[in-house]
Amino acid sequence: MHEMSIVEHLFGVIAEIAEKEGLSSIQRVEVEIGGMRQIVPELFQFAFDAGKDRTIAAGAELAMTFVPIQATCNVCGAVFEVQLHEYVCGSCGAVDVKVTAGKEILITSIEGDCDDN
Amino acid sequence: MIIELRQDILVANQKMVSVVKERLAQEKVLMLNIIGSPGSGKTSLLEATLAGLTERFQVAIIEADVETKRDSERLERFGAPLYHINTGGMCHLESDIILSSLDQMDLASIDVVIIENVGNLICPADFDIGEHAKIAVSSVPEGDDKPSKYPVLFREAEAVVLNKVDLVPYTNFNTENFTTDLRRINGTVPLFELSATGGDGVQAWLDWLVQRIEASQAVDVTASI
Repeated sequence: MHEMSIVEHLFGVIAEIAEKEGLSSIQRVEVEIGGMRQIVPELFQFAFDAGKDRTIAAGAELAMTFVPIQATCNVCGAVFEVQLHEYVCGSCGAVDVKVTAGKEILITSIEGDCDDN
Repeated sequence: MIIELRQDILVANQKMVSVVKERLAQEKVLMLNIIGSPGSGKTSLLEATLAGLTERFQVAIIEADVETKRDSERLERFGAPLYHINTGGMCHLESDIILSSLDQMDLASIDVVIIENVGNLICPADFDIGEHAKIAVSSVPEGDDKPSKYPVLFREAEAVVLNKVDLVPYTNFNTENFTTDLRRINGTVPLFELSATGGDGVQAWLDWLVQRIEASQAVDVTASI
C-alpha cells in the first residue's frame, strides 16, 4: 500500500503549488506514473478520493497516465519497450540493458481557480 | 486556470535523499538497503555479515520493523552501532527517517551503514532512501517464483541473496527456475546463494561487500557529490 504514502506526498505538492500560484480551489489533477512504480490504479484513486477532502484538492478529479517501461540495449543499442518485466533486448537477446523510462512519478497538470475569481 | 508542469511527486523525499547522499559522500560511507519478505532471513544475513566484517570495518546498522525491537536485540551482541526504527504500520522507510538516524551517528568513524528495511517486497523498492545499493533477499521456502512475482525489486537490486539454500532438498524449490527468471529481469546482477545460519556461501557475499566498501572509500569525494 505505498499508494497511500505517494498520494500523501502528492497532496503536499498540490498544496505548495496552489499556494505559489494563489489557487483557492482545484478541479483537476493529472499525474504520470511509470510502469516500474508498481502503482495499482484503483488503490491510487481510492487513496486520493479518501484523503482529498481534508486538502485543497477537495472535490478535485484525478487523471492518471501510465508510462510504459522503455530500455536501451547496452550491446546493440536497440531501443525497446519492456513487456511483462522482461528486461531482455528483443533484437540481440542481450540482458545488459538500461531502463530509460518507466520510473516517472510526476504531477503534470493542475486545474484550479484563483482567489480573485 | 490550468498549470502545466512536470514535478516529481516525491520531491520532498528526493530532497532528503540528496542530503543523505551528500553526508555519506563527505565521510566516504557506503550505505546498503536490505529488502526482503518477512522471514526471508534479513536479520540472519546481518548476523553473518557482522560476524564477518566487524574485525576489519566499522559497520552501523539501521533496523526497521513495524513493531518490536526483537531484531535489534538479536544484533546487540556484535557491539556495532545500532539504530532502531519502529515504523508503526508504515510498510517502507523514507529518506527523512534515515537522515534522522544518520544525525545520531559519528559518520567519520563508520565504513558502512546497512539498513534492514521493513519486511516487504513491494513498497520499499519504490522509495529511494539515499542508499548506494539495494540488496534483494529471497529465501528457498518462499518459492522459486519471487523474482517473477516481484520484478521491480529484483530489477532495482545491485545484488541478490538467495538464503536458506541448505533447505533446497526438503522443498520443491527449483534453483534453475529462480535463476532463469532472475536473469530475464536483471541479467547482470550478482547472485549469492547462501545459508546465513549454516555458513555455506557466506564468504562470497562478504567478499563482494568488502569490494564495495573499499571501492567507496577509494572514491574522490569532490567528484562524487
